[in-house]
Amino acid sequence: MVPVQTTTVIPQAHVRLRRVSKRFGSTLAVDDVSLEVAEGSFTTLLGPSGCGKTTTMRMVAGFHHPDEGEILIRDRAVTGVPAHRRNTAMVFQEYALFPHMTVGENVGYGLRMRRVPRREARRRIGEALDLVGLSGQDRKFPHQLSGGQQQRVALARALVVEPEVLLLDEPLSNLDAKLRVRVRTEIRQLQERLGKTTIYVTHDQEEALAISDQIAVMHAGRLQQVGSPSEIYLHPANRFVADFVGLANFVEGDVVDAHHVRVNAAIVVVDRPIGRGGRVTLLVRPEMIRLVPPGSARVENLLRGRVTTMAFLGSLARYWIEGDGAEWVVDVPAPGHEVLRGEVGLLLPRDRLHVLAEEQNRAT
Amino acid sequence: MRRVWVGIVVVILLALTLPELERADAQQNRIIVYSALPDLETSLVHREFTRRTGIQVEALSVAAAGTLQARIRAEKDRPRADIFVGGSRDFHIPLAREGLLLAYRSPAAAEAGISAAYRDPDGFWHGWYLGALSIIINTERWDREMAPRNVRKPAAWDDLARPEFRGHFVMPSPVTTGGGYIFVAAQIFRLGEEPAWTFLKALNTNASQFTPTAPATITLLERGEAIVAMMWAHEGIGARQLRGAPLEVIVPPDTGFEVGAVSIIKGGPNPEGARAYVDFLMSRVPQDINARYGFRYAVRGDVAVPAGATPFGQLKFVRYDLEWAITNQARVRERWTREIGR
Amino acid sequence: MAVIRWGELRRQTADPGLVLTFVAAALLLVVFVLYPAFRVLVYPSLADYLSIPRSLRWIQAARNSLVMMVISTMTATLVGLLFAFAVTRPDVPGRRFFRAIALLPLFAPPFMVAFAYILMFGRQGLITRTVLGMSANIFGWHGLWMVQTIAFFPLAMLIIIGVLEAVNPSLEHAARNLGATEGAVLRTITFALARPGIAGAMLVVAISVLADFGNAVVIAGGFPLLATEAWFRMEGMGDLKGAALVVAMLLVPTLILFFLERFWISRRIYVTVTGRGSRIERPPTPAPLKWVTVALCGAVSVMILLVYFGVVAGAFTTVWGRDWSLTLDHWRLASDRLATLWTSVKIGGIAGVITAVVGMILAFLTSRALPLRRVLDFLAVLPGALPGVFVGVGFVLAFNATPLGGTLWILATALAFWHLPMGYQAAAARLKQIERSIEEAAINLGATGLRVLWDIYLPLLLRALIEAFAVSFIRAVTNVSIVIFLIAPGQVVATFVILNMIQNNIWGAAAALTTMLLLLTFLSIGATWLLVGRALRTPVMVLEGARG
Repeated sequence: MVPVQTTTVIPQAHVRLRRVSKRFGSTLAVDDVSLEVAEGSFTTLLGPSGCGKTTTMRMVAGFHHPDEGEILIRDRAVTGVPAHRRNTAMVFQEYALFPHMTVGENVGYGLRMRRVPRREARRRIGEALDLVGLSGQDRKFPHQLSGGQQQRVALARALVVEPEVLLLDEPLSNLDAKLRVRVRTEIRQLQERLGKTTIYVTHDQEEALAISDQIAVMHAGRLQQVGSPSEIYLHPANRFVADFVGLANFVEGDVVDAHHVRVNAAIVVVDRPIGRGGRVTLLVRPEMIRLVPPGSARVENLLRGRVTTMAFLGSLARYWIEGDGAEWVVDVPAPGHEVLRGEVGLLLPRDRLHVLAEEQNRAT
Repeated sequence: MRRVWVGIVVVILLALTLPELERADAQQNRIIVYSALPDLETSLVHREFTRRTGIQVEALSVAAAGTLQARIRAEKDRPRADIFVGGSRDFHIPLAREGLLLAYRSPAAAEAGISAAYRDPDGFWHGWYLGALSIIINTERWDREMAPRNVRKPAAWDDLARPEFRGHFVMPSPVTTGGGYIFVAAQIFRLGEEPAWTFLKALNTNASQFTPTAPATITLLERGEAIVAMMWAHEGIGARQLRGAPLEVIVPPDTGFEVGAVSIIKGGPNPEGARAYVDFLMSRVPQDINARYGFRYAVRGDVAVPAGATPFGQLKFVRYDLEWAITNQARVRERWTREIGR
Repeated sequence: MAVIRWGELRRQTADPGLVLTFVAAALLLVVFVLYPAFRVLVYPSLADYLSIPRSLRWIQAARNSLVMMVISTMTATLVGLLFAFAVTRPDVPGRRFFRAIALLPLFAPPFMVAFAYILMFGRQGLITRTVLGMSANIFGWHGLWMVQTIAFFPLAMLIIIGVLEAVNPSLEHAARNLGATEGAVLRTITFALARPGIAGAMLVVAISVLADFGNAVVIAGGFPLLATEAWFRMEGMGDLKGAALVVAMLLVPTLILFFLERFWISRRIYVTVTGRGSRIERPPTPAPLKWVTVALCGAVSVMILLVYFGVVAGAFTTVWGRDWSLTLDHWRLASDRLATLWTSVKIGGIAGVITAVVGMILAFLTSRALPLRRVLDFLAVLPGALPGVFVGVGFVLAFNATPLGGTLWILATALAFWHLPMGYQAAAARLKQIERSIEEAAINLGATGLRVLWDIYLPLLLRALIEAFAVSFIRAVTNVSIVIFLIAPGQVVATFVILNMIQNNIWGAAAALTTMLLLLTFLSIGATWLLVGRALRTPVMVLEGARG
């Protein structure tokens, strides 16, 4: 029996979704989602646009109310609590900074609404701005700041109210690629330092892998898999997850026995036992395959192929190889000047191969 | 496809407007009339005129003779109209003196035996109807609001200044309308200039407004926006006869009157047609139409007294000094705008 | 002032057609916009200007105009804000209905609200007399106040809808998320963001109120106002100098308001959409506020429907207020005046074509890197600041003595150039949306400047062109403030006849003719919709100029 869904053992669930569904008109935006977010953890809702991840987060924030199921924050059902009474500060995709207020007023807005005394508010605003590295910018207006700075203001505004849960809705999507990587690292460091339970929404799988303790992959309103980044990457629950997270080669085959799969003429050996017989899909990540000279001695899991295209990507070289009736993508790390051409051998590592049974070929 | 459609629309529009360019000079058989009479009488008279002479009439009806007078002055370098019809001779005479009118002695007038008093000896204007100023009361509002308080109905001009009529009185503006001006002149002839202005200022406190056109006064009265008005008797009688308006007409002693005139504008595009028009107005049919639908007295003896009106000869008029009224017109109007201010 | 960049000019003179068009367009604007305005301003002498403070009546008129401007603007903006709020809240029931109803007064002839108000609430009014048995005087400032509020709140509504819609729902959500109650969100976010837009709406309404001639002439009674005083001076007393003085007096506040709106307020409006926004609905509206809004909007909507009902019913009622039996007599009398309606249509057609075509050419020219294009742009939007009566007097002074005088061309050109900012700005807005690269592609393939206009821009601007035509046409056939000065025998237009009929108590026929005018208006809107394939974009078109 292969564990298709690996549930992390959670010390204490901070936010808990129980069989939550949400319908907009005739479309089921969120379909029977159950999820536990551990205290102090960084959980990412990952999926393509329209998969229901933002709706799920908005239900936690209280902007939408679930049609079915319930949401608990620290074991208290919050389903009927209006948005402004939940302590779930959110950073919006477009930051939603109030353009008619200064940075200081923006950050202090939540404190004002909570009737925090002016003195204390001023102190906390200063601290929050310090935290995001924007000390002394409180008199500026949002439009006078760069995109990255605006993003930090939004973060400071959310943190200053000392929320129970921090919600981040694609906060990096309006930044350029380099900045995105830098800011995401900063966010992660900040989160670890503060120990804030955080839910993060993104469609960028690389970002999700880089930043999260736990990833929940969603598709068409349904939860596909919940697990740590490495679980999601190495042992995707189904073809959708495998395809959406990272690049993958999918090869059809027939089960021979618990450790052997027939791919066209070749037999591939797999370390992890295969649960059932019949038709399966073999999942091989491009960087797992090793390319060897065509004439290499016959060892197990060696397939033959022919290079069709090569792309030099700096830290790696990517080859497109046709072999045994299938097209393979193979990444060769740290390539030298040598370029492979013509016939090559593909070596599939038996310990890294992942087998998807037929029913796992669909998203759930 | 859309481009084709729009093209078609544009072509049609141009086709519609281009003939306008040619029309300007292709109108020999047409006269242009500035009429100070209401639309209804004007169009009936003109329909008859066209039927008889074949001359088309293009009329601009503005029921305010002062307005048309101003227009004729403004256009004196390029007169657009041939005829100025309606409005008392008081408005025609100044134009004649400024040399803006064309003299013409209509043979038709003499033939019809119209009194010389109603014609300009120099032929600059011909009178064709008569009217008298009156006090008109909206009986419906009177019965509801004045009668219970035992207010006496006004019988003389001085009664109009009584405080119980405060805010309930309307009359046409002396600046824009003949009726208004003749009324003011009549007060000056009746009381002398300075006492007259004192009276007019008292009247001003009673007036809810001075309407820019004469018919507007009767409109307000008929609708019950006012209870008492100073207005041409024929307007009140007409509203009562034609529309069943609850109006009572009282012609007080020392009243003023108008000689409704027609004149030819000098330099107008069609003087021949204009003469035919004047001749036509001297005939029985238009005067009859005016008496029937406008309830104005005809200058011809063979037209019946308008229904519901007292014969003109039985009314008591103020000694009206036409010459004074003409020469002082501009000054009196100016004083009105300065001292009454509305 | 633009600095002439000679290098630029030399490069552009490679295309003499373009330069020629530029010169021609500039000439048109100078002749038909600047020259009449100039004539008005220099017609009275300095001594005449200095005598203004001594004339009791003018001081009164100026004071009254300013008072009306303040009170009507306040109420119209308030009602407009209420409607805009209702319309932009997805959870307010009947919002589409309110929007549709509120647009109706924009297409009514400018005197219609006042006329209908008299029919409904005057001494013979259906509501006041027949239903309530009251008798009250509505003529004067209070009647005008009521009427202007109804006539002009749609303008405020359209502008405020624009700013409220631009408030990103995320901001409201963010405020909720940070602990703000529904009421606090509206106060600190929604309305706070809309504030500059509301101020802008007030300025636009204020200009319209100041310039309002049609309603004032019908209902103001003996209450002197600058707009009506100009007409009274000229038509009543033949005092052209007085008329010029009065409209010059009127021009001062309207110009100030206009430039305030254009160069100050419009720059302060927040752009709240940053980056790509997610389409989220707005947070719910507080229930008490929602129902108060619905109730008030409902009441105003009933008033507007009464306006339309009153006019149509008046056309079929034997004697309004006294004899309620139905009749077709008024239609017979009205059909006698059908020729005037036809004249209106011709004038409207010419005006519409000129507005649309000249507007498009100007928009095209100002989008080029030509020297002096800012001056051209300024002249093209300037008529939006001019009250109708000002343009009317200006054209009388400038062109009445030319062969243009007394023809329908003087009317058509006056209206066309007065409406020009609508055509110009509609085309300019559309031009901005068109990728410059499309044109570069055409040039790359060998097209020259004017060729580009014809081949590329004309088809792309067609919608804007048709809409500019339609709006200019509709406003021309319903105009009174300009035609009242330029009317001549043979060129009598329907609105002039209607106004006379209203004043002469021929209300049935006036109502019938007005109904015909309304039919014509709605037919044009329908036809435009068929041609363009969508409803008229009233916001852009109506807001840009042509007031009074």
